[in-house]
Amino acid sequence: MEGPNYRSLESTVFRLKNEKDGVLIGSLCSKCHRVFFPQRVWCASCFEPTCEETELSREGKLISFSLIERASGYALVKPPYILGEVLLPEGPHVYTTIGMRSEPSPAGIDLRSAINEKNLSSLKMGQPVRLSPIVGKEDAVGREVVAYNFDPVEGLP
Amino acid sequence: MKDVVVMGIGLHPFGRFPDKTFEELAYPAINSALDDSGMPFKDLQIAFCGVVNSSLYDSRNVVQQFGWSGIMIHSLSQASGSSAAAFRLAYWTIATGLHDTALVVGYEKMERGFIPGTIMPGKSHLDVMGLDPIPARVALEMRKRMKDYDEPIEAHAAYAVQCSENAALNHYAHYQIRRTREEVLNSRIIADPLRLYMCCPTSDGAAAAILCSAEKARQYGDKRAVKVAAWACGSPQVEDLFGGPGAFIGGDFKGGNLTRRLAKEIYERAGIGPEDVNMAIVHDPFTMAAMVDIESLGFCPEGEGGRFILAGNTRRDGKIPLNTDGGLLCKGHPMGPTGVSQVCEVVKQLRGEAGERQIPRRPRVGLTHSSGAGMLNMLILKK
Repeated sequence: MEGPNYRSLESTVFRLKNEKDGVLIGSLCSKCHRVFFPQRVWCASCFEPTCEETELSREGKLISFSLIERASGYALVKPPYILGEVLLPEGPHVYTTIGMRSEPSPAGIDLRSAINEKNLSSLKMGQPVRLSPIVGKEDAVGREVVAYNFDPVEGLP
Repeated sequence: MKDVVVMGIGLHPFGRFPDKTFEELAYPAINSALDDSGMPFKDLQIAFCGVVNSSLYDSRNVVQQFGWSGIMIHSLSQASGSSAAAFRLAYWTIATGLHDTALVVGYEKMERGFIPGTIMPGKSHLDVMGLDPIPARVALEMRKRMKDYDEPIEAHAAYAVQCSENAALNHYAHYQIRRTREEVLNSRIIADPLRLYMCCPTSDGAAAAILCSAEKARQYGDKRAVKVAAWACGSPQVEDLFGGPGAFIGGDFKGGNLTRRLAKEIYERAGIGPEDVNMAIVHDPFTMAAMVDIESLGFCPEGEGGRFILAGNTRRDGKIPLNTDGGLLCKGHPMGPTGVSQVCEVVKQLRGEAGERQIPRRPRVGLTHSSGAGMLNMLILKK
């Protein structure tokens, strides 16, 4: 649910339940039962408009990750940060930040990773991770913008 | 289907040419191809241009530099594989008998840095949260391969060194410097474990080829003509649609499914197997891509790509010489011309005209493999 004080960074991908929490939205094909992320109308396998919206699991497995030293021009995250690939139990792989934190700063909010070169070895391929949204910079009308992120289930280093 | 041959090729060096126009880049490529083919411009019946960052009129300007002959001039964009797609369309046009001759030209001017992969910059989770850099996606796959196949990082260094050695002998290449294993392994980290010298640059440049029906080629003298023996093209299927957000990054990095599928098709069309291919120019914007490519093309078993390269099997004097022009990695990667530049290198090698880069055992069968935004175009060329 959007509120007057907050919204999702991209609501078709990540739907807010309240100002701190939400769920990833995918599609389930009513014919072949394949699950897609992000959403789609036509099933990529059946080639028919048989997909319906579905909420995705909050926990998955970290299939792979990389520490990115340089972000592209539009990114608000401060490098270095982790790009992870998370496999959800229903099938889709999700690209996500891992261990991202929002910190107050003179600019409002900085998005920084709690995982960097110093503690990168704490991440292991295959470890369980959990949806852990973070709050970013305010938007143009002053609402908090909330984005999805995943953290290791066992906690951050 | 009619037999089609490549009659002429031409290139503009790949590098940084901020002051050159599209016309200036394309001119020497097309002019050389015309000279090389022995065909006058007036005999060209159709043109296909491959370019990504195109303005409205550049394809016309580029071709009409040589004359206003009234032919159809296409402008095609397929990311990194633009002129490979253009080449295939030119080939289809002649093979189906609609025309006898065609010009293929690719050209491009690029900015430095990451290529934007998003339609609405600054508004989507993908780019705002930094999930979009292509090298980062590649790094994910690289880490998987290192774990699943015990693939050593040295293999990446070996491939980068090999490409640099080829590029050092290619005066059209962007980086004509031999790199050492240490330089590659110590180069700046882009997205761990991927390092700078394991990635291709963005570049400016141009390349061209002139195609002709085999029948009509005789009137120009066809001793140096190279035959297009087979083609294959396609896009990924659902087994590659594994998640997001963000488009499939292309280059078949996940596991080579598309390459494998199209390789089967092209080998059948050509009536050969991978063991009959004497050289290949494959899509290698990252060192890892070459490993996936050679496995999927059937040159070595799955999981052995890195070790196969490390053992020297893809060097000019190796079992299957690979990317003898330096590859996207060191020759450079202007998106528009890259596809047709692969054809240029195969043609040179098959003709025995590659100079210092000539494969010692003169190849008879060459393969090109060009990916763009996930689409794939492949060719088999024979002499």
